[in-house]
This record gives sequence, structure tokens and C-alpha cells, in this order.
Amino acid sequence: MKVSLRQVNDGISVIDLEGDFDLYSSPKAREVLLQLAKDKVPAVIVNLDKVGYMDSSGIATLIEALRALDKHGGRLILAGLNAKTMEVIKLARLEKVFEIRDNEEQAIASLKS
Amino acid sequence: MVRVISAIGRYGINLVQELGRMGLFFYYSFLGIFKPPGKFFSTIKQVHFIGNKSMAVVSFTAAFSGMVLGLQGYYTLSKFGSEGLLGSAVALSLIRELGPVLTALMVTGRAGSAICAEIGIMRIEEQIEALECMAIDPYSYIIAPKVLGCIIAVPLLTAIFDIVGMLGGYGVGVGLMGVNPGAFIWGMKNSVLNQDVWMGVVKSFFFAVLIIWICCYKGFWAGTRRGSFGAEGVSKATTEAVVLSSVMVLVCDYIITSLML
Amino acid sequence: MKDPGNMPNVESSPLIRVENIVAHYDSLEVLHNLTFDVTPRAITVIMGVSGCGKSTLLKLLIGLKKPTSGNIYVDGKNLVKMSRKELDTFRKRIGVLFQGGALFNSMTVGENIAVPLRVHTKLSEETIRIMCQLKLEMVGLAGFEDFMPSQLSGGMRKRAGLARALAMDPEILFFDEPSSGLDPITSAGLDNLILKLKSAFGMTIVVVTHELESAFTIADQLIVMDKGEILAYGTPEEVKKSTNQRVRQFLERQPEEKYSKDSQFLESLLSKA
Repeated sequence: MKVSLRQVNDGISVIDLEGDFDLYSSPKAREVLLQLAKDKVPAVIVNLDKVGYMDSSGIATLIEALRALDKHGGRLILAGLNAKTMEVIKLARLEKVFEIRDNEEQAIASLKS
Repeated sequence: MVRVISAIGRYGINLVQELGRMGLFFYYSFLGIFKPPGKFFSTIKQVHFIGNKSMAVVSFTAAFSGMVLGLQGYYTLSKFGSEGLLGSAVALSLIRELGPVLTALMVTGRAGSAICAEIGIMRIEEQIEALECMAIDPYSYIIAPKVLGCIIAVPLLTAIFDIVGMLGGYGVGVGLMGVNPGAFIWGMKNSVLNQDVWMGVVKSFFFAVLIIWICCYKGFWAGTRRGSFGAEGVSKATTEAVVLSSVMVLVCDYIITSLML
Repeated sequence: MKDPGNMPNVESSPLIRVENIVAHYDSLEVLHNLTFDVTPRAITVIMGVSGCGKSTLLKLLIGLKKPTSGNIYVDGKNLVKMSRKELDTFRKRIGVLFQGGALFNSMTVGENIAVPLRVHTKLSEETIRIMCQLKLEMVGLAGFEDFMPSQLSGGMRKRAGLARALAMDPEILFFDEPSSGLDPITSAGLDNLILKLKSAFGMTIVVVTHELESAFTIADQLIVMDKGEILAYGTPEEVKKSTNQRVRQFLERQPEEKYSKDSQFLESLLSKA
């Protein structure tokens, strides 16, 4: 899985993930997310629109990132989930725990408000 | 008549099969040492289990063995007026023979039987099959740390046995029977040579391998043979393991002694 | 755990195909030329009396025993001819729940679930901890990660074993007599859990059992075995309509009747006197 990081206006970090978010690729994403939390970044958007498959290690990584960011009041928004990855979130009963938006633009919009 | 011959034949075939299985077990366990996952923490846990938990038994046995050696040695040596040699007698007996052998027997009874039963229960509860179905090699995950732990713990326990035994012998010889302390210690220092210590080390190493090999093997295949399933199989396996280990330690002792003397 | 959203499509190509397998224990033939398919994303139940060979069949499907002859194809690859490495890869895609749960007694429930994750992946301790919590939540044992197996009831041990089997998000789950040792209520709870795993996660599930009620509750496909042969094979409705005498006997829970008349029984007693 490819993990790329970029900045958009106002110090919002966007992580683009491409490929399968599974047992073997999660550590990569985890490293990047936890570093952002350490740097006390105010908001992170995780762009999942190029992620075809996410398993429970992916969810665990996102949960850990959410908690880490929450410590300094940072926000985590998941964007671009397709039907399958949304299903995985719902099955873990986490759809109310995460902030979820349809795409990156909506995520940025909700951060501005 | 024919029945007798076929019984002997069957016994022979079973024996060869058993030896073959044990050989394969040794081979897979050896390979398992070098396979992932990492062995560091699991080995330390096993060293604690085998070494730490056998300490009390070993120390106790050592003290009394040493004391008995002191008594018997004094009694025999005094007939020749050679009480001064008691130190040598006690030290050499312990370091070359009693230390390795008695430690091995104590560890077999204390830790060997426990390990055999532990693995046997894993087998009858299908935990070993569960490991295989998770693509985890049971030889690597379960057996190898025990092998490494035993090889580290038993020689160390043997050393402790030797020292406690010598203290016991000193206590009885000098304290009780009145042997000159200087003579006792001097005798020890003079007659114990490198090759004696080396013999003790080599023996304890081989005994360690023997004990853990037999006990793990018996436990691993507990309850899978006809006529002894379930819990009965585990208890049978444990008994067989302790008996076989003890006997083989003594046999091996003779072989190593004759080779190294 | 791929493709969770689709309804089980019984028409799609089988995930596991068993062809003409024969199995022996020493010289005794216990499975006689079996052929069947396991449909993906559906529950296949293998049913029969004790000793019919269903446990042996399960061992063959998970690679713990090799058939004397025949083939078992998983996604096109022959399980019988797999190398050690290929077998390991296959086993990382499956989860097996053994009778009794087969939990490791010296570890807590959480540590049990973590075992495959710690051995096969480089996930961090925190990630593993959260995953264990997720799995326990899935099987209805939330909060039990620090309990030792000996502190759990039989039903809870099975659920914990199931959580461990689910640790690596397997595509195929195998259950060996899931209802054994459970009371009817706990057993029904486990049945519901199995149904949920199929519908919510799209898992392919193979269950070996002798419990009629459980089997008919959960099965999409039923295989009835006796004395090492398949007597009936199809949907539960089709099997219910079977006219095979031994199948009817099994379904109607009739014990083996050696003598159909009382007079015959008395005769047999007297002849032995």
C-alpha cells in the first residue's frame, strides 16, 4: 500500500492511501499517523478512496490515530470510503466514533466550519 | 511358538518405529530453534521454569548428598588413615559423577514430568493442531524454547549442586568428624583438575539434551497411540518419560565416563 | 475478510472442491471416494453420527491429514500437493475452531488472540491490543481480554477460540462440533454468531456437527455422511425430502433397530441362553 502525505491550507494534513489497508501494510500508515499526532497537527484527513480492502488491522490503526490526535484536541476525518470499507467500519460499530465524509473537499469544508 | 516370534517381531518393529519418530522429533526440534518467531523471551521463561523451580529440590538433594559423602567418605578413608583426603573424595565424586547425575534425575522428576504433562495436555486439547492450523510450527513455538532453556538451566543447576554438595561435605567432614579444614580444602584444590570439571560439564549438557528430548517427545505424542487416549494417555506418557529419562541418564553416564576417563 | 457486502451467490464457482478422496487410518478405509464442493460465502454443514468420518474429513480439508488418494482444490490449487510454504499461506487464510476452543492455558484470552498476529505480522503492540478488543467484541466477549481460559465457561471458551480463529481476518472458517458440550441456549447463541459471520463478513464457513437443529438452522448446503460415504448432499429442503433409509433414520432420530419385531428380539435372547 502506498502512503503519501501532503499539506493543504491552514495546516490540514492529508494522507492518501492507495491499495489494501491490511495486516502487512498497516504499520506504514500507523507510522505516518502517529508522527502527525506527535507533531500535534490540528487536523488530519485520511483519504481512503483508493483503498479497495481494509481489515481489522486498518481499523485498529485508525482507532489508535484517533486517540492519539484526540489527546491534543486534533481531529481525524475519514474520506472517500467505498461501500466495502464503509461496511467494515459499520460492522465494528464505529460509524459514530469516526468523522466520515464522502470526499476530501467535504472533509476540508467540515473542518473550516 | 509362532506367537512368541511374531510378538518379538512386533516389539522389534515398534522399537524401530519409536526410535525413528524420536529421531525425527529431534530433527524438527533442532530446525525449530532457527526458525522464527524470536526465541529470546520464551527461552528466558523456560530457564526460569526449569531452573528456578528446580533450585529448591536441587539444593536440598545436594546438601544431603554432600553430607552423606562426608560421612561415608570419612568412614572408609579413616580405615586407611587417609582422612585428609576427604576433601578430594567429596569434590571429585560430586563434580565428576553425583553432581551431573543427581541434578539430571531431580530435574527430570521436577521439571521434566511437568513439561511432559504440559505438552501432553496441549496435545489432547488439540492446541498443537490449533497452532499448525495457524501456520505456526509447534516445534519452533513450543519445543525449541524448552530445549534451549533446559540446555542453559541444567548445567547451571549442576554447578549449584556441586557447590552446595561440597559445603555439605565440608560441614560434616570438618564440622562433625573433625577433619582438618586446611587439609580438606587443600585436597579439593589439588585433586580437582580441569578435565574433571570438563567431564561434569559435558555430562550435564548431554543429560540436559536427553531429558528435554525424551520428555517433550513423550508429551508431544501423548494420547495418540491406541489404548491410551485422553487424560490417561497423558499420565502414561509422563510416567514413561520420567522412567526413560532416568534410565537413559544413567546409561549415558556410563558411556561418557568410559569415553572421557 | 474480503467482499463483505454481497449476498451468498450459490451459483459462483466453488472455493473448495473435493474430488474422489479416499482416506485410511492404518489399513482401515474410513472415507470412500467422496466428492463435493464448498460454496463460497455460504455455510456448508457436514452432518452425521459419531464415527461416520466427518472429523477425518475436516482434518483433510485443513491439511492436518493427507488423503490416500484424490484431490482437494482450494481456489484451483491442490491442497494435497502443496509445499510447506503454500500450506502455510493457505492456513493464514483460514480460521479453525476446535472442540473445546483449544485455547493456550498459560495465556490470557487477549494473549491467545494475539498469538498469530505476533508470529506472522509486524503490527505494533497497541494495534494488536485494539484488534483483540475488536475480535472479542465481534464474538460477544468484550472486556474479557485479561481472563485466563480456566476462568471461562465452556461456551465462553469456544467464543474466545473463535475470536482467535478470526484474528487474521480469514476468508474461510472451520468449526469442529461447535455445539458439543453446550446447553441449547448457548448453542443457539453460537449458531446466531455463525450466521452473522456469514451475512456480515461474507465468510465461507464449514461446520462439522451431529446436532440436527443447529445444522438445519444455519446450513445453506448440507452433506449427510454415514460410514465414510455421502448419503445426501444439497440444500436443507432437498435433504429433508431424501428417500434414503439411513438419511431418514438420522433425520428422524431413530436408533438403530436391529430387530423390527419384539418376537425376534426375544428369540435372539433365548438362543443365547
